[in-house]
Amino acid sequence: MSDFAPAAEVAATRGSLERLKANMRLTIKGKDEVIEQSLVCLLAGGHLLIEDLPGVGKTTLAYSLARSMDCAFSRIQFTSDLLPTDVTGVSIYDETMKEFIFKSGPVFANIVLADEINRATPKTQSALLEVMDRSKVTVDGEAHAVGSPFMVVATQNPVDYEGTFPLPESQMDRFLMRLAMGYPQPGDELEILRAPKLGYDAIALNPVVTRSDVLKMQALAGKVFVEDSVLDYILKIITATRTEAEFKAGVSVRGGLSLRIAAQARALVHGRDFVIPEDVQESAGPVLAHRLSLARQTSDALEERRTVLAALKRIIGAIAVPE
Amino acid sequence: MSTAVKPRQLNLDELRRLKWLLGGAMALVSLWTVFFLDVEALSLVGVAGAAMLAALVWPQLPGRVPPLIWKLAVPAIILAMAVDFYSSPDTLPVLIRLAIVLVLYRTVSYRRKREDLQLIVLAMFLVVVAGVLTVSIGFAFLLLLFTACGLGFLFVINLIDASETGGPRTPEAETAWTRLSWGRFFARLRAVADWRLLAFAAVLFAAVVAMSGLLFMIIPRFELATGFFLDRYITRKTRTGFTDAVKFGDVSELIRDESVAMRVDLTDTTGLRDAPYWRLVVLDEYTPDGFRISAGLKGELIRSQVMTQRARDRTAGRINNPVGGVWTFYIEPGVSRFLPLPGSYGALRLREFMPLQTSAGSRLAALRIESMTMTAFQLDDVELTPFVKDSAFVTRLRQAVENPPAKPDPGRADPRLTLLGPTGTANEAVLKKVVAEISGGAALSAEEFTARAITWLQARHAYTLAAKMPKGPGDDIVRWLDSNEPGFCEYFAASLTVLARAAGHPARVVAGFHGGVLNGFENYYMVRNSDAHAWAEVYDGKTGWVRADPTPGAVATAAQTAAQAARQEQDSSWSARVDSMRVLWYRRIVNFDSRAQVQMLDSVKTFTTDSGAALRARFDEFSKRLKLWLLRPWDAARFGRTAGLALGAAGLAWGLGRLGQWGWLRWRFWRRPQSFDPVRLAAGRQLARLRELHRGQTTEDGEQVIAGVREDLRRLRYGRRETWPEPHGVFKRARQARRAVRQR
Repeated sequence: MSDFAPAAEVAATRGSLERLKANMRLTIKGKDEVIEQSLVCLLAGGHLLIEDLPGVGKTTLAYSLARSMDCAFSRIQFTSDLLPTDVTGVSIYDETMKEFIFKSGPVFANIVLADEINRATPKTQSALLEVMDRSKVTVDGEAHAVGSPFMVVATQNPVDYEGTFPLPESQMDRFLMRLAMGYPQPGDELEILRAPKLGYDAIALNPVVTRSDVLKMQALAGKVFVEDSVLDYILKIITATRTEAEFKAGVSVRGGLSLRIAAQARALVHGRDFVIPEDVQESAGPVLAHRLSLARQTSDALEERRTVLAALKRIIGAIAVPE
Repeated sequence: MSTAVKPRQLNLDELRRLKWLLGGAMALVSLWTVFFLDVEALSLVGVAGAAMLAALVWPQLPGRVPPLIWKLAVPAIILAMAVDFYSSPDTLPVLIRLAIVLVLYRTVSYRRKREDLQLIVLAMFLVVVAGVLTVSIGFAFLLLLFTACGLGFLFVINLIDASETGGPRTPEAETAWTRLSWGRFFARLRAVADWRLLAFAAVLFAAVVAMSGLLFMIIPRFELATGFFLDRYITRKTRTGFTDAVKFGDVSELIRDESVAMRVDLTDTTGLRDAPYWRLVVLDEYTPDGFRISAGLKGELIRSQVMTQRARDRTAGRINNPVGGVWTFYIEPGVSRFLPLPGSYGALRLREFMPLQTSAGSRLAALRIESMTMTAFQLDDVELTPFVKDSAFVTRLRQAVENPPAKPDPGRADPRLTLLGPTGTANEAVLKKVVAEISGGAALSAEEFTARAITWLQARHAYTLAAKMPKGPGDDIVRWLDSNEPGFCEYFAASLTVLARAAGHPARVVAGFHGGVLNGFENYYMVRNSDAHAWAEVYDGKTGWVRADPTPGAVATAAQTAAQAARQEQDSSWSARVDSMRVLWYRRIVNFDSRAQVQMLDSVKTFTTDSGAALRARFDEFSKRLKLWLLRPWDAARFGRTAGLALGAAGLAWGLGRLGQWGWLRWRFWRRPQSFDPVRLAAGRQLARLRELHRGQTTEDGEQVIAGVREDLRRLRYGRRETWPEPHGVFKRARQARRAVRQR
């Protein structure tokens, strides 16, 4: 039975999750859904891509997530002249020791905020992507493990195409989820405007969960029970994207696995030890949309994003929910 | 991402596919009814049926036909039908062919609501025409099928009409339903199938059928076929059957036809020993081709024609030994215009006033024309006598011989014809020789001569169905008589007649049926065309005609009679059972007259009142016994026994209920065995109901009541089995919660 999440442990995670949510709400106003999704991504052990206009709180979200945990946090501002070694670290010769020692880069942390990831060159992007995939940095043939848990929260700006290098599909696939922040509601925004200080220094959050709590919850998420008909539902959604004429290509096998683990994590966030179809439906957009691209050309990235989401919604709507 | 809408109902495309299926089935059923008609459209029906079936199975096919062909189709149909009208002598077959082509056109093209309704009307035309012209049990079955298809079709049209949203649709979306796969479509049908809906449909269908049945019983009878104008447009192909002239070989040809010629329903079968001879036609005139009805006899029949519903047998005199009770004859279309008469009778009744022709001396009864539909008539006081009384004949014959009329009376049978046989010296020499051989030169009475002639014939000739006429000069019958060739009934009957005439005894050939099988279930004779037979009648010199059947094996010996009687009693086979249904159908539906209708209504009324009274009586009895039983002293053992029994019965009922539920679910979910679990399915259903409730009213209280139960239901549906709460408790709470919310 150890293959499945024991109900007692699931109940125990509820406290930690509630604390995390409450803590993040202190800085992210009126974005409960986004907070929840980011927690799902964290529990699923995946990486998060936040894509939205500048100045809607992408970085604040990543920052508050990192700060709410007792974890190492680092931030990398991606620019076009950023080098791979600026991300991973570099071996330098130590005069006193008479040998090369590895000087670890900012990626050696638990939560890494990769800001404006699409502004770096593909070479630098792929340096980060290797870490995302393997949780390791290999320099001079020597592997260095990064932190555990390890989560990359990348942000990118969809409108700013000047001087950007959009991530290719294969690299988008590495992100478990893509989220959009969206503008806050007027009431929430008023509250943000009232806040006295600006800047990340103003984010004074105390960690509410420990690193080991996070690892435990991640392990638990993988054990959440998925009933056969729900697995079948996931399979149907995945295969339907592959036969849909509107998409250039369907969702990969990794995409299907991601949907499953995301649904499991969402169930855990909702305090359940089993997955319901709603978990799958709610996760499908964030998990699948960035893995799909349209067969036809669209005028801009936002429109593509909207079209993909609409098509995905239509596909899922046509599939019978297991009842 | 919003929650997906639960597709509990068929969507528009699936409804359209269902409409296509039902419309096609309805059209095919209507086409099938055309098989009952005799309108020379079989190849057309075959081609149309194949095309309709193909379009039904592959709905994309009509879309692949170039639009030009659709455009040309209507003018082509009009042209073809105009040519058909012009070239065909009959109107009705052309109308039917036109209807077939139109049904085909409507069935294989994509239809909107208007065309759907047209299809119903066209198909109904075919069905009604077939129904009116052939009142058969097979048709009743087809009509039921048609009703079911038609009702379903109309229902689906309504559903589509209700769910279609006006906006313009692309041609692509318009034909989306044709691309559904059948497998997926039927899986969806099964998925949305609901036993309540099915039960409702079944009840509705049964109600419609019962109502129509009742109406049918109540409405006054009238002869649809004569009231309807259509049958006058059909000239009937001559089928095998008895007509005015019977050539040699006609009867033997009939003998190979195994189809049923008639059924004779008897109210009483006691005293029926011998296989009846069903007299149809008297053939009094000899021609070298064979015997036929003389023009005089035909004229006599025509002159006797009266519009009547009743006739008496004027020759019968007193009926000494009536058997069979009331004899009701149901004669298949195409058998004959002559009515089969098994002997003398008291009264003959027709279904309605009809032109009836009779001839007393020949004991013939005939309708003016051969009926297109089933012919029915009744006989009372039937005596199976081999004797036809005709005492006036001898006087007439004498007068005619002594004082030959200058020209034959066209309205009267010439009695001298019954003495004429083959002429020519060679023929006469042979006949004289044979007659001398039979009588030994003595002047025998008709009876004696007939008996000896039969013995002589049977000694010389064996019976066969594959008779060969010996080649050579002279008359056919005389040549056969003089040979040793085997023959069949016509040869024997004709020979005996010719011999009797040569010996100076008036004689004639009679054709009809002999025997038949007595059905053990419903007391009726089933006579097939293969029972066709010919025999002779010889005048006894003073009072009348006596039947003489010279065919070997036809007249049974005593031992054979017993065996035959046993055979008659014993046809209780499965096919006899099925055939007896047909007679029930005739009795009840084709029916005879309004008397039977009143009788039937009476019996329906008695049945309902009787069964109601019986039910009440039984209930009274039961409550009395229950009271007595309760009043008997109770002790522990008795109480325990009763409680045990009650528990056992309850357990059994519960188990059977579960089994039924399991079977139903199994049927619905047979494609997904791994996720089949009654508890999960029940929980899923409860969740769906909660959701519907939720949609309707979202008061805070209701929400709270539901929330707890929903969590447990979700666990039952999607959770691990080991973590399940007790299912029945949860379901009960769910029901209570729903009720509570609804009351609020």
